[in-house]
Amino acid sequence: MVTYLYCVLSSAGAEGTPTLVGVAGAPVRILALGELEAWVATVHEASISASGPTLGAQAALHNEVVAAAMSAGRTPLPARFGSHFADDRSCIATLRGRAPQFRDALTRLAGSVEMSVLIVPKAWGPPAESSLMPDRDAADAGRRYLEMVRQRARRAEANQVAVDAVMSELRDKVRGVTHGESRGRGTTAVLSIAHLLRREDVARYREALGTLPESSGFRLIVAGPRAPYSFVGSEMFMTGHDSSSPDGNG
Amino acid sequence: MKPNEDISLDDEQLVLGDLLNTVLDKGVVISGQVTISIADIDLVMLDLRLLLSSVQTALERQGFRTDGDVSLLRAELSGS
Repeated sequence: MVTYLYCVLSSAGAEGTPTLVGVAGAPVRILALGELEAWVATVHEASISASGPTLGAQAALHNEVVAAAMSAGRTPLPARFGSHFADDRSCIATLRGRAPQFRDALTRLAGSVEMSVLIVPKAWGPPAESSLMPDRDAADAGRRYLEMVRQRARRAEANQVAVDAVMSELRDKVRGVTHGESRGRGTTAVLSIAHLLRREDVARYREALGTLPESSGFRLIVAGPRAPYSFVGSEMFMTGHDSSSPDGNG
Repeated sequence: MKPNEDISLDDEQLVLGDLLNTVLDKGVVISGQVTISIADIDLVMLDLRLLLSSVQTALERQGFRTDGDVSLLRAELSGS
């Protein structure tokens, strides 16, 4: 069994233990850390080493616990799914050692939420004929393959230019409403951009985004609010059970 | 099958995929990522696409309510 970490919060304004279950059906507990508190659960390590659909379902449960903190009007610093410690003692010791960083992050993020805007092509469209893998037995298979690669590269470049233009437009739209931006992973045509904004500005944010012109070739999907995952350094939650841990503890 | 039926993703799935990607990003259990290429566009975000319907099913099987705004479940313990 391990101590699984959901989030760290300021203990100010806390109203008792949450009656929640999360990952692996384990009840959520609170670990007191002075002016901070951590929402944790005791789970089998195997339950957070899931894959496939189970992984997705457990990650959704993780987020629901974090979301419950938000629903209570608090600002959680969310850990990523899978953050865990050998036991409560190890968890407390590690998090206490990082208390200054947590305090700074809580000061910076207090009252803020994360919104996500997805830039999605209006039409996916079938691949051009020339982009299909040529018959390897064809006499001109080599030439056609190289042409396919070139066309893909050209399309990717054109998509990137179009997406950059949309991103620039979005920045103009939400300037003054947001106070942070984080671009999603990947260098692809469909992007997720996370914005940080005051909780009370969510409606204003949605209104500011509006819609994209038909000619852009893209549409927007706005999601949130959610905890500020994209604005909390994941290194703050390194637990020693991760090969990339800077601490190497655990 | 309609053209491109296999790549039609509704907004709900995209939002859920984005959320899961965020929650899982840099998580300690992620060992790999499949980039799916659709219409010559690499959609990193959609690497969880194949999970989505299964996630919904798994949650529903556990008795959790699912709805469109990805507020998937409120798991308050009854009677506690």
